[in-house]
Amino acid sequence: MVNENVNILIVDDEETIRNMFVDILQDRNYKVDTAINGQEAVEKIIEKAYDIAFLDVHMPIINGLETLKIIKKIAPRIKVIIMDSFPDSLTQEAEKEGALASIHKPFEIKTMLEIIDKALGINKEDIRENV
Amino acid sequence: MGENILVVDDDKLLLQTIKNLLEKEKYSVTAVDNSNKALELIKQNFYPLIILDVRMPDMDGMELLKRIRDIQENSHTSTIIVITGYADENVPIKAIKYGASDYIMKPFDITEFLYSVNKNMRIARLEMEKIKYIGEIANKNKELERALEELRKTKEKLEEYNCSLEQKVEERAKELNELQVQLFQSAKMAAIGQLGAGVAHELNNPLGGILGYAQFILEKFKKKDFKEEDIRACQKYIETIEKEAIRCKKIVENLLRFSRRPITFKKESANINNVVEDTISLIHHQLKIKNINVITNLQPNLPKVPLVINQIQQVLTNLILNAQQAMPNGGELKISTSKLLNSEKTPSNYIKIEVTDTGVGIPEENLPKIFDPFFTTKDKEKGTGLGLSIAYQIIQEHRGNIEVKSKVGEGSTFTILIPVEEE
Ligand SMILES: Nc1ncnc2c1ncn2[C@@H]1O[C@H](COP(=O)(O)OP(=O)(O)OP(=O)(O)O)[C@@H](O)[C@H]1O
Ligand SMILES: [Mg+2]
Repeated sequence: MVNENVNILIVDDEETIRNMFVDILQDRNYKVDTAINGQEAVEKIIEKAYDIAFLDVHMPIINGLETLKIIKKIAPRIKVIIMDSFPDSLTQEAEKEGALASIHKPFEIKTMLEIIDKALGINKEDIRENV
Repeated sequence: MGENILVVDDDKLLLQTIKNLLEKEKYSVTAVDNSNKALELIKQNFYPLIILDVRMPDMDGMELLKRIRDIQENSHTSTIIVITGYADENVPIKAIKYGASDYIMKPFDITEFLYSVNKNMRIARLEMEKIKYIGEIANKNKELERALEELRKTKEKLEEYNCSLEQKVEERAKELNELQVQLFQSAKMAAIGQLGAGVAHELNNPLGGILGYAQFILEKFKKKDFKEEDIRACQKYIETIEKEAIRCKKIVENLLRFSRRPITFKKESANINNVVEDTISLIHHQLKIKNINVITNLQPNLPKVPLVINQIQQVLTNLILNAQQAMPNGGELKISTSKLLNSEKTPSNYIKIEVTDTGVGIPEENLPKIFDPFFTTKDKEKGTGLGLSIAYQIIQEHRGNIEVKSKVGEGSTFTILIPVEEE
């Protein structure tokens, strides 16, 4: 799958983090959208099919974990990557709830890309299985 | 029996006559016929009245008078009547000069004699009274001196005690002070523990941006076709890096200021709004993720107040954390500052800080207890119950006041007043 066909949703209440994802990933031709909280994320997911979502755990209104549960119900194919500052009970629970992985801020671009590749790789296998 | 009279005369007949006469008048009488015996007796007993003949073979009457006075000195003086047979007018004068109070010329008539004795006895009695009083006064004086001495000793002891008391008080105060510092510190550490996760998020978000953008810029530099637009993009990224680095710096500075153990509780003139803003910046993220909407209403141009800044930060942090814990499902936290002008109720100008939440509120029965040390309604891990008691002490040390108004189900408002000028 070429990057242009990969839709990624970044969900974080921090503007800098959103901008950083957009700048870095768009530079690599990924299609990137952002949401500033769980509620907005859910709205976007209903409207558009995303392949990958990066979810910050600590967010107002609906936190990352709640958002993950909703995503798993309405769009189970989306690979969800949980972002946190350090591993805590929320991250652990998120992985149990079906998150692909968790990464801890601050993370390197390399980590960001590896996790996307991992998500896409699994995605490709899924597609093959389904065929 | 009446008072004792000593009669001294070598004329035994006259002596007996006088004795009989006086005894009839109900006096008790000691009669002796020579001067030496008289002196012996006077040395041993006190006679209020002495009647003596001036001319006796063993000793001149004047000499006897002198010796009596020598024996008796000033304290115990007998009244003395001299009997004289001399026609010499000088004798009575001389006798009186030597201390006699009256004289009787021989031959004398009984009425005249008794009149003189009675009159002189009255004088003697008065003399005795006087002596008694003087004695009593002397005794009283002694008692008084003793009492004074006691008093002085007591005073000394008191002073000593006072001194050791002062020392003890000082020692206790020092101990307490140390304890308090420890208490402040431990409560602060607990607050930092509660802050810990929040601070990590607070720092890791800007750091995430910094790291990402720094690596992104490096990537761009390595590209061969580095274009004009890349330079512009990089400039934007570097600006973001700078902004986020400054944010990190502020957080770290705040945290350090807050956690530093104060060596002295030194006040510095400070703008309360800055203190409020710095405190909020430490907790802001934590509040946001708990769905707490922070509204600040800081009145500009407030006068500076003398503050121990990290103590006030500690107070505010505790109030904010309490508010946060009172709103487990989110809510609104309002922090406002304003100036309170002096009025009848408040003698000086005050800075007012209000922290209002829309949380669970405090039941009326708990209101009098919340400022008590170790009063908590929270789990052991969440609360030590020290937060508000320490806040109270800190505000007291700033000569200020902290109060609470609360309604169960509606929320709570904590109001802090700090006087603008320190006398
Ligand atoms: N904003 C508030 N809303 C409701 N209750 C409050 C509020 N602030 C304080 N309280 C009540 O007062 C008690 C004492 O508060 P305090 O800050 O002294 O201790 P704590 O918060 O329990 O523990 P610590 O501050 O040591 O973590 C609390 O346990 C709580 O019951
Ligand atoms: Mg508290």
